[in-house]
Amino acid sequence: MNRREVLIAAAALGAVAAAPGLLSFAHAAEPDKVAEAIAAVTGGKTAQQGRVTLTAPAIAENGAVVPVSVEVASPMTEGDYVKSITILADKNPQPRVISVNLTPDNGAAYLSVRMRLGETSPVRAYAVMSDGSVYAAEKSVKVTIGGCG
Amino acid sequence: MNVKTIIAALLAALPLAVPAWAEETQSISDADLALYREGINPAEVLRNTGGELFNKKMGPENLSCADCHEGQKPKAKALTGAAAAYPKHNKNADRVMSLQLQINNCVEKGIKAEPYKLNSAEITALTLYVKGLSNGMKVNVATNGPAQPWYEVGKQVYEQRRGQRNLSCKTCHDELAGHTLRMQKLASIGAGASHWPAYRMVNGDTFLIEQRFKQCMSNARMAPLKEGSDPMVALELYVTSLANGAAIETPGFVR
Amino acid sequence: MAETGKALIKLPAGYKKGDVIQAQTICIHPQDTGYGKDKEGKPIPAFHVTSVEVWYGEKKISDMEVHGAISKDPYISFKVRASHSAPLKVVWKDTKGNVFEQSAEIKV
Ligand code: HEC
Ligand code: HEC
Repeated sequence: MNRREVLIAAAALGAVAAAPGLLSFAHAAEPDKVAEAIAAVTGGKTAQQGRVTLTAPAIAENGAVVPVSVEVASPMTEGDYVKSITILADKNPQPRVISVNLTPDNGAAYLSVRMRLGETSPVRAYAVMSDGSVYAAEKSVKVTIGGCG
Repeated sequence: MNVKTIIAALLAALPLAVPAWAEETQSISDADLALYREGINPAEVLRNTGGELFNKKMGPENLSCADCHEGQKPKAKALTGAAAAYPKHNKNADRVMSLQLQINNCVEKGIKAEPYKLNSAEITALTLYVKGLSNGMKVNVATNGPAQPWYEVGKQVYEQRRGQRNLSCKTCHDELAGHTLRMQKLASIGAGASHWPAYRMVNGDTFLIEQRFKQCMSNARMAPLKEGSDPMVALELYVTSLANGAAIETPGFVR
Repeated sequence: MAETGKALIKLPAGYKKGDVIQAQTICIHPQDTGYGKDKEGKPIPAFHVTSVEVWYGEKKISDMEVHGAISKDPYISFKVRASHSAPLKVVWKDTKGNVFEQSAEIKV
């Protein structure tokens, strides 16, 4: 392949990549909207590190479908269980993604979803325990243009 | 300079939005890709719909596909494994038929109803269902005998440079295979046909392989061929023959 | 075609009484966020799932608050302890007040 052919092939892909984005989010959330969403979950309590494992791709090939799962270490007994798991995405116009209320009958504190990310953003998971304590984990997911091909 | 750096340099010079190109030469990792494939493929829901359609009585004689292809006294053979041989030459029609065309043939001649549009959700659903009856079996399309001229045409369509950018399928899928452009791993199609119809995350929808061809054609600025047209079916035969021997695994889940 | 509200629940094979198993669910839904625009530039109104309930027999074991940021055709997976034989019922509700239901049998 010569330079010209490579250029042509590259341009063919580029032209497509430059086409309208997957998500036409008007704008990202205001920072205080994120703070508000966090406060609504934690009730103002400071979240501790640990117990929460957040799995998400480092690079989201497609911001429209980002697989995210959350696992929280807990015995899930009547006396000690995870009451809720919440997923937030800072840069989405509405940072709240999903909240699940759990009971000991779940047997394990686990939530897995496919979610949207309008742009590169921290994704946060908050877990509220039955004793009221709050744990959190965070991971930055890079969203690239993708969308072509 | 290797080809990759040439591509990067040329792309950077293009009047296109290429934000942070240098960072983006990295494609998604296999571990990340595996995360995407966990969970339910939405196309499975469409396949279930295909199963319902297969059993739905239609037309003037109130017949379903199942009435002829299943049951105590079937009028035609069971379809387990049938899809593995498609596209396949049909003697009566004297042409190679894609599975979609064969299904429509049965709708028209067996059920005596209006055939489905070849880009409709109904034909995709039925194709998924019938192809699913061959899951785990090996692709086995004939490229000789009466199918041979179709195979030759398909190969030609695959290799022929067309359109504004003078590209062929072969340019991207063979000559440039291995390179990553804008998160796009250019890869040989290889046995890819074995996982179509497939759900595309990018579009959030399920497509037939001929629709995927059309998407590549329009991305590469080639005039798209029509679904079910002779050159399109020939191309499907050629690309599917590349998967001969590979296990059928549908629906696929691709980017 | 794959109509809004068509749903699927998948449970693993080969579990026994007391095992914690992973349930996977999907519900066909456009999940319009309310932030998108159509081809003519007109805003597409929000149309997405707002809540999901999980019932195990007569007992509600989980409920969820769902926003537009959950992808098209919502996929949600959770765990449940297979303590007895009963249907696992999942109920989706959306912004238009539609209610969709799907069940799978937990057999131990
Ligand atoms: C009136 C009976 C009848 C009905 C109804 C009917 N078919 Fe058929 N079908 C046939 C016959 C006859 C053949 C060709 C002979 C054979 O292969 O047994 C055939 C062949 C096929 C084949 C190709 C099999 C092969 O091995 O090449 C497929 C696929 C198929 N039918 C799918 C369908 C589907 C899907 C429907 C419903 C939309 C349907 N048929 C409805 C009678 C019927
Ligand atoms: C400009 C480059 C380009 C051209 C030209 C091109 N394709 Fe593609 N094709 C791609 C890219 C990029 C993908 C996506 C690869 C991926 O999913 O990782 C793709 C994917 C595919 C797939 C899906 C593969 C799979 O395993 O699921 C098929 C089939 C395919 N192309 C066929 C064709 C055919 C047939 C032609 C000619 C009509 C063609 N392509 C022309 C770039 C191209």
